[in-house]
Amino acid sequence: MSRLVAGAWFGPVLAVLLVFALGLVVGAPVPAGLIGLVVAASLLAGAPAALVVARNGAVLGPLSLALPAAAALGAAGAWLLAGPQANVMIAASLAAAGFAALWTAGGAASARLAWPMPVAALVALCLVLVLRRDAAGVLIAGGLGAAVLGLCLAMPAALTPRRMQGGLRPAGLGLLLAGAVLAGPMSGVAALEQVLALVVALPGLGVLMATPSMAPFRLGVALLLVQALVTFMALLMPGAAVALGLLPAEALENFRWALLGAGFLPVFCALAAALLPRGKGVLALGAFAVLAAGLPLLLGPIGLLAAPILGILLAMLLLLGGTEHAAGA
Amino acid sequence: MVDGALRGSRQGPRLRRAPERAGLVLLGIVGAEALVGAALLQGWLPAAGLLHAGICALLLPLLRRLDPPPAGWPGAALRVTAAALPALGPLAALAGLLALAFGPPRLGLTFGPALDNASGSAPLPDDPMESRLAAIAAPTLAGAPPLPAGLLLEALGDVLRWGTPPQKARALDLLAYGGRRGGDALLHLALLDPDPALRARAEAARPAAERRLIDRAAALHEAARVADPRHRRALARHLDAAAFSGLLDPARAAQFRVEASGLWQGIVELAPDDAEAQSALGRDLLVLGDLPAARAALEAALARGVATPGVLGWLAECLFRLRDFAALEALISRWRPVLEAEQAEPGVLAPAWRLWLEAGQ
Repeated sequence: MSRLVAGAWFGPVLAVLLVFALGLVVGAPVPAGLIGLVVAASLLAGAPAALVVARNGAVLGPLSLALPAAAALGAAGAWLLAGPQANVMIAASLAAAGFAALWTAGGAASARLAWPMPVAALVALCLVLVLRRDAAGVLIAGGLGAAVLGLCLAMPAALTPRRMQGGLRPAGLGLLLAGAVLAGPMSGVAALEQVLALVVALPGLGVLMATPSMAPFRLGVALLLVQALVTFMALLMPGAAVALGLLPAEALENFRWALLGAGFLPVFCALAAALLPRGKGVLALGAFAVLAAGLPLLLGPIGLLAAPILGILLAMLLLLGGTEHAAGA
Repeated sequence: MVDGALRGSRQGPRLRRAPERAGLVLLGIVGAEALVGAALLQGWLPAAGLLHAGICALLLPLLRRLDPPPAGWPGAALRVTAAALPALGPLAALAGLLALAFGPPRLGLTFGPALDNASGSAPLPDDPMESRLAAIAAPTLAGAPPLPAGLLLEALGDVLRWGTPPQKARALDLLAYGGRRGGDALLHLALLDPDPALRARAEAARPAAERRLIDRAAALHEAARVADPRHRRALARHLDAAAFSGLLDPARAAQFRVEASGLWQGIVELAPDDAEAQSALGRDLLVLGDLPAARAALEAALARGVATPGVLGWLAECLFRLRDFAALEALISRWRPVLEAEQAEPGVLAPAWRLWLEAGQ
């Protein structure tokens, strides 16, 4: 479960950064809003599907529901953002469905990542970029790479077809997880700063995904050390984002608070992953979504730091409450 | 959805032996979607949309004609590609083509399982499943005499039921399916596991187990040509075991069951007091849906003293499906002591027995 929760932040952040970087490299930058919208659409459709896949191993049903949903959300979002441009809408819908395929396959419990697959994804991506060097081409290329990886990861789980059962609760949890990820950036307060600051959380989230079986004390120490180091280094050079042209200089103050807040995110993920099997993940994720969306609106930039800290405190209270109950029983 | 389409239909004799054709169908999809991709890249959007819609509309009836559903890696690639095709179009086709070209994953990282109860936690030092696996593996590695088959299967069954996915995978590797009594039941258990990797591993072993069951049936058929009742009984027992193993495809299992019921019927006609034949006949007829005949056979078995929990369960199910609740209550009150012992055991029918026993008080 820790892989799923951590992956819900890790994957989208990486996807946003990769597509953004790809656009810059090709010389056809994709608007940040469009990338965010495509990734948000894919997450809203893919996270519920990933949890359903993880619940009982059925992969075809969730895939055949999640991908059209992601494509429709992507197309609708592109329409709202850029108007009725068929070119952009098709690119956004294909990219959203491609990323949704990758998130869904992430739920396939023991998928194996064979070495040719990333190479194949890379080749396919380059092929599209050679054929079409504009923003829509970049989006399609990103989606194609994700789709190739995701579908190839999903195939071992489809060797023995399995009927999808009891998917409503995991799907609801998945929606909540997607909401918790998207609430902060979608609240409208310093959205770009929040997304960029999440880079600081990537090492901690990586630790969480790479070591799901680590004992809690060791995991806590590892997260503390990694996050303290990375956040400290990021705070030393926040101007790098401004120098690269990613942020305007006046956003630096917000960015510092967002960096501090993002440093705490892996700890919240670890606690939420521990709470999910205990049935209290709904409360933890729901409360985090509300805090991440509400506190920046109420408190301003300090809210960017306060939301994860309060989320961690709440999750710890829920965990300790469960432990006392178990001990009492 | 797509899975349903692949499983659903009994039509389509032209594509009846479809597993080997899954790759061809996938290549056809790739060819057609390549045109869609080319149209997209050229900017001919309406043409691309129309062509894609046409491919999707043609694909569903085509998939419904693949009966039985295609197996193996090409089958999996076709299923996933078909599930993703409406939304991803040429991207899904390209992914399917690459998957077909590269074949099933062999080397690389193993993604860990995602559920905590089925997953991730490292085994504790005193994990009983670890000790079972160690006990099974140790003599094999040391070349010492193997464990007794019963003990081995019991231990492997425990691991397959309660172990973590890595432990289950090791148990499957340790389980040499061929010739081990009970090995088929364990393989069936592994096929129902929620972990896709374990199911894929079990699925890889299933064709061999299925082939062995079919070959054994063919050998017993040869032997049963001699008019010796012992051979006919052995054949009927094997056909029954194979049909209920859960490893055969449904059509073949039904065929075996029909044949077994015929054999048991012949045995019963020769020896009406044969309780084993009566109970086996009753079970076969129950599954085949001939409820009155199943009831008669099971009641005959019960009258001849075969009051096993299995026979009682089948008869109860038969009476329930016949909606003869008075007879069901009479059965429960007659065999209450046996059933009270049974409802305390961790069997499949225990909750049902508990319910009926409480209702009868």
